[in-house]
Amino acid sequence: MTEYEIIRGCLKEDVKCQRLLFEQYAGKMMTVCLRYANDQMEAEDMMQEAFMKVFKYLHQFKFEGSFEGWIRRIVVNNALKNLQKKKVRFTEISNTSEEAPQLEPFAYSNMGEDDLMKLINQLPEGYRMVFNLNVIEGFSHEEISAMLNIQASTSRSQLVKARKMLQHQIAQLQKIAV
Amino acid sequence: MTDNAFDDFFKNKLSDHSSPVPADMWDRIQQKGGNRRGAFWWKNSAWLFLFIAAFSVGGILVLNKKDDSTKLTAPGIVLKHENNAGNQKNTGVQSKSVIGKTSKIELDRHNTPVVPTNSTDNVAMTNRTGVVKTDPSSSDEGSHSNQFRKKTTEKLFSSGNKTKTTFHSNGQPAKAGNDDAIETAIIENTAENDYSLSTFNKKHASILLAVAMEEKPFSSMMINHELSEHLKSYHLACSVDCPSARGPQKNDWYIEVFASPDYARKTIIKGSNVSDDFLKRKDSTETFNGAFTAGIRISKTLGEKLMIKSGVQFSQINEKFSYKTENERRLTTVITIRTIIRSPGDTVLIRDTSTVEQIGYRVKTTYNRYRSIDIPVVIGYEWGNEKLRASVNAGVILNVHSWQRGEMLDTSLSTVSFNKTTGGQVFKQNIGLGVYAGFSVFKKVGSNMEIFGEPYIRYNISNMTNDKNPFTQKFNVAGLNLGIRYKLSAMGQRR
Repeated sequence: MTEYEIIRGCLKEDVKCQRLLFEQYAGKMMTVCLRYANDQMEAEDMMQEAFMKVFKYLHQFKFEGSFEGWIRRIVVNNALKNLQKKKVRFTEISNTSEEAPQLEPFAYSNMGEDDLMKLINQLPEGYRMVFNLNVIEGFSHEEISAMLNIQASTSRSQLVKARKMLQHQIAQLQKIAV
Repeated sequence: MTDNAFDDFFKNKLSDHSSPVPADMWDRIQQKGGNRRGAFWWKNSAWLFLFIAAFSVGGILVLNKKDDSTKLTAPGIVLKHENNAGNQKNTGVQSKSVIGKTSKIELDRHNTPVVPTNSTDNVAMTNRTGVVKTDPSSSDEGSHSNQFRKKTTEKLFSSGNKTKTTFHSNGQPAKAGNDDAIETAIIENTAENDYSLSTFNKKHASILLAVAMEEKPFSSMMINHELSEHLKSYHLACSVDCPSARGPQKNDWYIEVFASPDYARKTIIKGSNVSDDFLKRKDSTETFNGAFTAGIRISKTLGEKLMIKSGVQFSQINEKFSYKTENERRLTTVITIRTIIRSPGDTVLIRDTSTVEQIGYRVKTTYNRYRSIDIPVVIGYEWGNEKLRASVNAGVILNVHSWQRGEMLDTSLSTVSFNKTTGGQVFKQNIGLGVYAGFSVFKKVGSNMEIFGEPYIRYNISNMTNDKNPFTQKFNVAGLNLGIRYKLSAMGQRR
């Protein structure tokens, strides 16, 4: 079945098509949820809620642009909504190190997706949200500031600090590996 | 490595990465999706329970309804059996000529309307002519009369041939105030003295009722009422609710089972020692989160249109308490281990310990419950027709017991809990009197069953907080009672 047929089937509330759509995108969307959530349970709740919204608002999809992008946007928005309920504070984290370590390209060569996910999950919530939105989802700092109701400068500084923290963690792993 | 390269590395690696999905995720989505389609209040198990209980009670009442259509005993009715086609003086309601023997049922009307079973009314039975005749000078016992009465009346409704009904009153037209026995019905039959049910039709029924309505003594009312029960069972048009001698005073009893989604509005008034800031903070932490009432009422008619209702009801108001504590700190300890090989066989293991401190908010959420058991006492004025009725209601609600559970802010802006035992320190365990007003619409759905909707408001007069509290608090409630009303067997017509 093509993507178009699956969507049409879902619009007719065909359970088989709904299942196909879910199976097609569940893995990728689970990654998105895991990047935003604090733990596996929270990610599963986000995922469940997001897919219910996908089926509920599917009739609003205009078949313009990527369907995966449309679903991803719903999943991300839902994740942000959940996190905003918890009143995430974009706070400064004390860090003894002033400079970000300079890493050589080979430092990343052995790092898989799961390692990167773990690193991202270890970031404080504020850092993680900005890093995900800017680096992975591709939103600008202005868009992020509107989405999270923060200053664009806050978003920029959070991103810098997130990047620095990640580089430190990678450097630490590098040391362990040596 | 530049920042852009660093970002691209993450993006390329993670943008299309798939993570394992729990096997039951699809089932959970399907299950949730199915629930979403249902009515919102079915999600609340309390509502489900109340509605099941309400309809179960209604169902049991319907199923247990006694079929009392075989009852036909009317104290005060004396039967007269005459073989006197020639002597009969009619009041103008005779409908058929006499064929052979005539059986005459006479309703004896005395000034004293109640005739006990062992009445001293004298009844003479003439076997030769097959006539039972009322005679004040006779000394026969009432029990004899009752026995015959029962026999005859049973025949009236159970035998099979032609009948004919005639009304007269000892040769005089029947009228109110006549002390003599009034012959109200003559049922003629065939030579076999066999009666017909099929011919006891609407006309005869209406004639019997017409006479009873005209005279209005208790005996007439009783037979009228009981005949009506029979006629109902034979699908004949007849009204049970006949007026009494003093006017249309019904004596109906009803049972009402209801439940209501409510909206509660909280009123807080600050005391002298409390700052406005505290009240604002308290108000911002507490939000209404649904309420309901469920109960059962017995109602009774007072006169034709007034009703008094009373029973017991349970109310619950839910409130979400959400309080954010600032400057919560979380320390994460990171231990990194590294090995340094200085020379072959000389390996050093180094452990570095560092801490990361995270500062943020902590949001505490609690669901407060305010529960109460009350006794409503309501007067209603009801009007309408058989199918649709309306009523305006007003009365009081007496609180029997109240208890609360949850958390709230104290004046130092700290969270304090209150529950059933400690709640008494903050809230009263009896919140006193409330005023009730409502408007009901009843729709008939069965012979004795009605469904109804009743929007109402409840205004609590006194506060629910103790006097020593620095503020006073109370809830005023608006809701929509939805339920069923079942008409219990009439307790008898009022005199």
